Amino acid sequence: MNPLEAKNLSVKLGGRKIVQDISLSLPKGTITGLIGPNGAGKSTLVKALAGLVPCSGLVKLLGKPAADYSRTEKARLLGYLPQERAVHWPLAAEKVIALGRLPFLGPWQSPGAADRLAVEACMKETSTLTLRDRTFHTLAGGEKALVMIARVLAGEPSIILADEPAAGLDLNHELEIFELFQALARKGASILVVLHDLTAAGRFCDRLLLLDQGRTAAFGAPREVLTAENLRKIYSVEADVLFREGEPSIRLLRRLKK
Amino acid sequence: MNRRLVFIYAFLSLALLACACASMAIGPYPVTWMEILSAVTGGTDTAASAVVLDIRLPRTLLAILAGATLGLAGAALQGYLRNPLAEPAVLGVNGGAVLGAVLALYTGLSSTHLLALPLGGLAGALLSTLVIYLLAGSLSSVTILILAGVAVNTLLFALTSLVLNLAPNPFSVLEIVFWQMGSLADRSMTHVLLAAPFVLAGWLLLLWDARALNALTLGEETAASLGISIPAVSKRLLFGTALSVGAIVSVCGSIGFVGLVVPHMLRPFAGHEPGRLLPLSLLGGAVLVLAADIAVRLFPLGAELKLGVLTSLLGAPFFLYLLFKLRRSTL
Repeated sequence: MNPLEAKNLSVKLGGRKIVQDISLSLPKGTITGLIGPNGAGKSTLVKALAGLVPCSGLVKLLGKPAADYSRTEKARLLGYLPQERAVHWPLAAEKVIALGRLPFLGPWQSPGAADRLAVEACMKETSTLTLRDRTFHTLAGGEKALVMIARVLAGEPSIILADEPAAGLDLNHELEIFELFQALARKGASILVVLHDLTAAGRFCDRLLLLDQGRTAAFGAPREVLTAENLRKIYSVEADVLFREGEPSIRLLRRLKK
Repeated sequence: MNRRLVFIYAFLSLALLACACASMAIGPYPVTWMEILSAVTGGTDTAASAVVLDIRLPRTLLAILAGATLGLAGAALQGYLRNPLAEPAVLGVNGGAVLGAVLALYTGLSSTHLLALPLGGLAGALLSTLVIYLLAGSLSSVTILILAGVAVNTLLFALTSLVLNLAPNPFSVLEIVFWQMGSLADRSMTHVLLAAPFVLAGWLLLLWDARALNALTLGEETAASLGISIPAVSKRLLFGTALSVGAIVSVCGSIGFVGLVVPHMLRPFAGHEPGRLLPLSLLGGAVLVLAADIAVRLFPLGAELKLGVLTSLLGAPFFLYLLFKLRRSTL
C-alpha cells in the first residue's frame, strides 16, 4: 500500500477541465517529479491531491479515502508547500517555521516542549538556525525557500507535496533543496515535487509524471519519460537527450513552432 | 512569553486600572475617594453614591467594553484580511446598527422607550449580518465576505441618508446626527447589561480563531492545508463582529478609528503575530477609549465634546501617517 494513491482525478475550474483523469501513486521513500509545460495543470493537480480544490475521483491516504480524515488528521499526515513564498506579516523566521506545528495545537494552546523540539530539529535539518530571529521579508530568495520548507517539515508529514520549491533559486540553493528532499525520502517520506529543470528532475527523482493539457503524457522512470520524442511533442523543442550513469544531460537545439 | 510582551501587558493593565480609577473620580459633580469607596462597597445612600453608581460606573464599564470590543474586532479583521488598514466597519455591521438606531429615533419610539434605540441598533446589526452571510454564500474565500460587506454597508448608509432626508422635523435630524457622533454620556446600568451578553459572546467567537489567523499569514490555501476551515473562520468572524461591535454601536454610536489604530500600535509587541495581537488589542482598546472618555470630560468647552469626534480627530491623522509609512515601505 502506497501512502498516497489517486485514481481518475479530474478538476474543473470555471467550466474548464484543468486536470483530466490522472491516476498516480507516491510510494514510500521515493521522489516523484511532476513536469510539464506552463499551464499543463501541475499546480492544480498538487492542490487537488492536497484537498485544496474540489475534484472528482478518489484520493487515498495510507489506504483510507482522504474524505474520511478530519482536517487536523490530514494536516498532520500531508505537508503542502505552495509555489509562492508569501508571509503577510513581518514575522521572524522561527515564527514562520513554528506555524507548521499548528495541526498539533488546540485553539488556545501555545507550542509546548515537543513542538519546540520539532521546530529546532527541522531548522537544523534545513540549516536555517542562524536565520531564526531575522524577519522573513528581509531574507534572500534561497533563505526564504529553506524557511518555507522548514515550515512544512515542522509538521513531520509523511507525505510532502512541493510546488516548485526551487523556482528562482541559484544552482547551489537548488542542489541544496533537492539534496534535502533526497535525505527526507531516505528517511521514508513520500514526496511529489513540481519542477521545470528537467536535468534536476532526471537526476533527483525516482519517477517522473509528464503532464500535458491536464492529462498524463508519460509516467515512469526518468529515462523513459525524458526522451527527445516527448520534448518535441509536449514542449515543442528540438533537443538532444543523453543519459550518462543514469543522469540526463539535455542540449536544446531549437524551438519548434506550435 | 518574551519580556517585551510581559512588559506591555503589565503596562496596559496598570494603565487600565489607573484610568478606571480616574474615570470614577472625574466629572462635574465633586466626589471624594472615600465616597467612591463607600458607594462601590454598598455603603450609604447619598447623592454622591448615586452619582458614582448610576452615572460614573456604567460610563466606565461601557468605555471598557466599547474600547476592548473595537480593539479586538479591529485586530481580528486585520488578521483575517491580512491588511493593516481594515477595521470593523468593512463588514457592514456598523451600517446596520446605525440604520436600526436611526429608525428608532425617526419613528419617535426612542423617546417613549428608553431601550428602543439600542434594541433597534442591535436588530439592525444582526439583520444586516444575516444578509451579508446569505450573500456571501459558502464563505469559501475572504474576498467574497468583504465584497458582500462593502456592498451591504453602502446600501445601508444610503438608506440611513434617506431616513434623514425624510425626517419630519429638524430636531430629529439633529438628534440623529448627535447620536451618530458616538458618546458614553448619560448611559445607565441598563445599557451596560443590555450590551454585555452580546459583547461577551462576540469576544468569545473572535478570540476563538487566534490560531487560524496565524495560519492565514501564509495565505488561504496554506492555512487550509494546515487544517484550518476558512468557511468556519469566516462565520465566527462575521458573527463575532456583529454581536460585539453591533451591540457597542447600538449603545454608544460610532466611535471611529479605535479599531484601526489600536492593533497597529500594539502589533510590534506581539511580534506581528495576528493571534497574539487579539488579547493585547482588547486590553489596549479598553485603555484608549477609557482615556479618551476622560479627556472628553476634561475639555474646557461649553458643550461636552463627543467621544467619537475626539477619537476621529486623533485617529484620522494617525491613519494618514500609516498610509504614508506604508507607501514608503513599499516603494
